[in-house]
Amino acid sequence: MAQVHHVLTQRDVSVELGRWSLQGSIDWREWDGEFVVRCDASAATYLLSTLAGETLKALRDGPAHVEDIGARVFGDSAKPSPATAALIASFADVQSDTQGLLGVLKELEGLGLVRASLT
Amino acid sequence: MAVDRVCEALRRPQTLEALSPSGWDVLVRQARRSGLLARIGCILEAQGSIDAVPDAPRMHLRAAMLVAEAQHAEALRELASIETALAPTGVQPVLLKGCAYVAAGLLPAMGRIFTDIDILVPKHKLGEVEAALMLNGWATTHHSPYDQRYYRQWMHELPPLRHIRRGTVIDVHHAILPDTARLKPSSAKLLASARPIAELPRYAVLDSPDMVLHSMVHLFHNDDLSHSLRDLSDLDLLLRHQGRVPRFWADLVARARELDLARPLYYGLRYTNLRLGTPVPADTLRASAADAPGALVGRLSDALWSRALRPQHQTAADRWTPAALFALYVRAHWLRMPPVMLLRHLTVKALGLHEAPAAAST
Amino acid sequence: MIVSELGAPALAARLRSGGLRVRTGPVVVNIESPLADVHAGLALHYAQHTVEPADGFADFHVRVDRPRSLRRWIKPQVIFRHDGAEPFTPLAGNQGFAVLEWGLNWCVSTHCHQYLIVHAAVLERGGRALILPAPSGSGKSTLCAALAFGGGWRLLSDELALIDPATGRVVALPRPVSLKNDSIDLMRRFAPDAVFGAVVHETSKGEVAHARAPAEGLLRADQPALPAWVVLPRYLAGAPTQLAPLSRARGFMALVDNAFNYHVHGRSGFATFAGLIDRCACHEFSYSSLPEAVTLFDRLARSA
Repeated sequence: MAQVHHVLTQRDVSVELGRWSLQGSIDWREWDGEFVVRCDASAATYLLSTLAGETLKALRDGPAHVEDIGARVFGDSAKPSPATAALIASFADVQSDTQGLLGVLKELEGLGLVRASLT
Repeated sequence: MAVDRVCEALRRPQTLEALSPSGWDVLVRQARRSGLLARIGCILEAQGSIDAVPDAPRMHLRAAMLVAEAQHAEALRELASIETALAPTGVQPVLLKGCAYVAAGLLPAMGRIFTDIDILVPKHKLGEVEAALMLNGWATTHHSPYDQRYYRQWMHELPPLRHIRRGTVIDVHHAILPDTARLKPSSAKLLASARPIAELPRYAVLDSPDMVLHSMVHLFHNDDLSHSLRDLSDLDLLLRHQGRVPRFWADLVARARELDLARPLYYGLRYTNLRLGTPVPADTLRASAADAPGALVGRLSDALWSRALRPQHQTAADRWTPAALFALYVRAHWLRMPPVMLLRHLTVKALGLHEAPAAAST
Repeated sequence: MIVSELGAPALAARLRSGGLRVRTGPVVVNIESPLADVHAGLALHYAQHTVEPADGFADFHVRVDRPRSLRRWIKPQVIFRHDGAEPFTPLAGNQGFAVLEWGLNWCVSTHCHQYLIVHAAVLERGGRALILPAPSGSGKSTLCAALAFGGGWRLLSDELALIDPATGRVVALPRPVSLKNDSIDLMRRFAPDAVFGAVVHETSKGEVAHARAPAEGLLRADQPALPAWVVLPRYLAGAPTQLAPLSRARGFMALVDNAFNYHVHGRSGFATFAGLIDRCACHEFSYSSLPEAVTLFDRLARSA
């Protein structure tokens, strides 16, 4: 049991502090704030919500830690679509941004679209 | 009148430029049945003449090539999943047949259609490999107790494993022939000579002569003859490719004798040369002729294999073809198991006694 | 030459031996069958289809026959063969023509990978194509038949949307429209001029009949159409007839979910569907009244 706990702790660390990157070649399109993506590594196609899609899009510029992803998605330099702007307006503070993003990143990882590494 | 347009197309693809629409009609049908439609398309494309093919048959060639490409991509994805699943076992699986050609980028990958992944692992690791695969979503098929025993006790492979979610199939072998067979090629020797694949180092393929010999054994000992022409074409491509190295032919003959596979080598060289014009050196044919069967068996073999090594299609069959296929089916089983066991096996299969009581899902 | 010009004896002779070779859109099929109901069905539904020469190239060689087993004589069944292979289990009795039609659909959707193929009805009006993707039971065939027979739309196909990846256009495959159970009577009343073949009662789907494809569709079979609408239809008894907006991303996923060979096309398939959705308005449609449905689509066609 202790061993399992150790593994879980390691996972959490990599998730919190790790760098996220796209898993291989991803094709996507966006219409009205919704995204469809195809992952070449798994040959699977998904429909993604605005936040999930914007998060994925943010990783197109290269691997990043969750804070940097937040900056890309919600930051001043971002050029959000109207849907994203509405989303941004609904987030109250930085803390929930990060938690929300982490949840999204974990889901995207489960779909095989992104991966986290400690390096 | 029986005609074999597929062998003709493989031997002399340049003659396809002059093929009539009705000729294409027969070729496409025969090639599709033989699993060689995509290969012929690839050969024409490599030759630069696929766009000269009339529109209608060209569509079928292109469609088949698209399917083959998609299957290759899927196979590579499967291999990545299998690698992850088997990592804890420390086994370096040796890939066989279609997936070996594709993974190692060998010539018979061209237009090769296949669905199952075939791997060879040491016999003592079989249990661990099966457990690791089942932990990762593969489930056994052939659920009846008879079929399970057939595979595990007598054959050289586990019952095929099918992935629950993806539906893909993996065949795990521990030898290239069953333990009960008359020929005994040593799995230890095959595994010892296997070479890692450069792009996929966790996997290996058989050494060049061994790969050729395995292809021959598979072809001439298989009870399922529906892919025999495709297997012959694979063999032809392997021999053409490996045969450019002068040493290869002598090594091949020597290795065949070492592995107790001299007879399949004889058949392999003879029939690729006869049906597909494979350039086998004369002295290799002479050397291998020492392992030929007697004159009577030889003539019978020629009669049987000349019919089996054709498209399995009404346009290519003559009135002896059904009998020839049946004889070879029995022969394949004869070669795999002792006579008493063979009789029992055929009886069980014929009477459907191997069916599981509840609906066996596969 | 068209099939009706052959004459009944010549038609029967070819079907019994050698085959009747007909063109439907981009596909040439060589059909053999000794069964009377198959002869009748072909004579009716393929009367206006072009006969192709026997020495040319046929895309599919098919045969509808009795099985080789005892079921040839005892409670006779019918079986579909594609070039000797039997992709389906045999079916009961007099479903020969229905089995032929299902078999031809299977041939196209399994082999014609030069197209991206979606399980959908497709109709055209004013040069623009309406794609109705839907699994069986959604009422797609009934709606499609209503729009084609007197609704002002040209029928491209009631089952298979063949999308050419190079042009993004849908290619026509003019074949009979298959209808089941209540839809048969509904369509007889709605479109009294439509020509129906025999109603077959023995199928697992209930009653099945085919309506001959309207002549216009056959005459203009060589004219593909550029998609403008993707509409997911749903028949719901008592429901108001209405068109609800569907996000384009969901329209895209509907195409993916209803495609036969998306996995074969890989990245190119994704790009083809994306390009198609770029040009289309997407909707969900529910209806219970055919006349209302036709009127609504009429309005849709007239709108920008």
